[in-house]
Amino acid sequence: MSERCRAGAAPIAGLILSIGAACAAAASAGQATARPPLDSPHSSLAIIVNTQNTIDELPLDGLRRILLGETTRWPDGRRITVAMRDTGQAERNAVLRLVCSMSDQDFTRYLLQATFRGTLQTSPKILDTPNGVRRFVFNVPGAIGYVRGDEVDGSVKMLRITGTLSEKRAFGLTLPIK
Amino acid sequence: MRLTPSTRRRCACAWSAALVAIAGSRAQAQTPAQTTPDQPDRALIQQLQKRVDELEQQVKDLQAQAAEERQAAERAAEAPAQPPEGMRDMLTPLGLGGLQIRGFNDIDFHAYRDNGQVNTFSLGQLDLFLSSRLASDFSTIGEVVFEADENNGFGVDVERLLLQYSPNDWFSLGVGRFHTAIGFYNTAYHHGNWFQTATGRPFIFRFEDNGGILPVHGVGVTVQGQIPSGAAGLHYVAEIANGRRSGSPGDEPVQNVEDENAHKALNFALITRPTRVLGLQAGISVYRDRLEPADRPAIDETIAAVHFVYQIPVFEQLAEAIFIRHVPSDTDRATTTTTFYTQTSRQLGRYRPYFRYEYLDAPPGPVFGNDLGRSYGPTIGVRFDAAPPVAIKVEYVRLTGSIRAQTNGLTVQFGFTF
Repeated sequence: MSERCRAGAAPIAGLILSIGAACAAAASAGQATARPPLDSPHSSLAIIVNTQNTIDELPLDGLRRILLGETTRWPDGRRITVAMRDTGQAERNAVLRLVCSMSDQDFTRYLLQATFRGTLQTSPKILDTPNGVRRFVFNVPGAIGYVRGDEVDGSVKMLRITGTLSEKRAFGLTLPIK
Repeated sequence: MRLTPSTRRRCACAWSAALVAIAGSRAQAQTPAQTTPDQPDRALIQQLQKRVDELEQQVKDLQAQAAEERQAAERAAEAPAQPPEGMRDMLTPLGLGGLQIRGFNDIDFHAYRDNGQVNTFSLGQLDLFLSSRLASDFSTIGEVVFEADENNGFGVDVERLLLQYSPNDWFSLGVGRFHTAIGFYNTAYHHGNWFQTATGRPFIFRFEDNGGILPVHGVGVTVQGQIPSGAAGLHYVAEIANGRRSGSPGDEPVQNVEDENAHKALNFALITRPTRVLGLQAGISVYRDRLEPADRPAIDETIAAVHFVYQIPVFEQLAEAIFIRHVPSDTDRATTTTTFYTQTSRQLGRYRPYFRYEYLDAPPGPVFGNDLGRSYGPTIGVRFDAAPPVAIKVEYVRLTGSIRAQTNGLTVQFGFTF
């Protein structure tokens, strides 16, 4: 290779390397935005109850029984009221998938059939916003709901979910299990 | 009174402003030589006092607003029919409100395989399901069915009517007309065919007015609830009811207003739903009654049922066996009817192919009206959920035995809920 060619190749190689590095950086940046760390608050779900509730932790199957209307009372006898987000929300889909192993349609049909059988007296309450869920849980002593981890504030109590699995994930959201 | 953090912050700001204002006014009042405030100072104090009053009023308003919001949410939790703005009952979009009414119907086409039956279109049961939560622990459900008979005339039946009292998860009392907790299918599925995977019930669970041999309806009292049992997830059901009429085969089989004898039917069921395995259920039930057919000795009836069910949205496996034992009072010769069925289905997107196999062996006797003998055979079909409330089912039945003429052939069913 002539000296002239070598002189011309060096900047091209540098350009290729720099483009490659830029692509790698962009890819890693893209990955960072698309897939936040699992323990980041905005990618995790928080199960919340009223601050008067004496429960601090709940097994995963106990949470499932509450959502499916099989358990209707807290240990102190207070009626459980489930607060949910509307259809199509990622939080709702994630909770149904992670806790009940159901799609939204399966869940709606399940509730309808439970009502038809006479085993379900009250269906979950639907709230439009995370703030609405929080305020409902704050105001109703027997309420239980879910919001993203970074949407929890001091007005509600976050439950610790226990179970056999360490962590479950769906729709980009995790349900931390201790 | 408990306030939300935002309300608490607003109250805190208001009080801070008030305190600063008071402190400011005192500081000004204690200015050099502690002299009596002159005219401009007095005006300032009055102005600050007015501001404090205003802020106090704002705090009161915020507290009242928070209290109102809390009361509204509590009322909404108790009375789902009147939720506050921005909140609604989950099933409201499907049409359920205060007195909740839901309809089920199906329209069928039968192409019978055996002679003696002509191919036909038929209207299924128009089923209106009513439910209402009456108070915190009281609710009611009802099921009114409009159905055409073999003469094409419509009749109306109240298939279920139950007042329920449910103070906790361990005790729920119901009085009225209900589906007897014999086995699994009878209480899992009622009159709306839309819920069922197949076009109809297994023949052992057919309704009394459709050739069924079980007392699937009862009028009386039913008690059920959970048994504290940890992961075993035990449940119980205990029922006392009028039982079925047996005086004459032509009589209405469900004794809605008058029992033919003083003996009451008793039923007890024990069910396990292990908490760790979603959808798994197994159980046994025992039903006892005394029948009094016309011109015959009384018969002691015992119906024992055992079931195993695994049912999750994408898969179901049902298996039930039922034994009906009749012992006439004038002899020790007992007769036993043996029956079972198994059903498997798998969801593949919007399709759900299914397979059912049924078996019935009934000895001749006076209770069932006609000699059923032995019948058995498969059912194969597919359910297609065209839309969430609409299901189209295509099914082929091929039974061997005395009841085949009523069932064998192809059925296309359009089932829907509204």
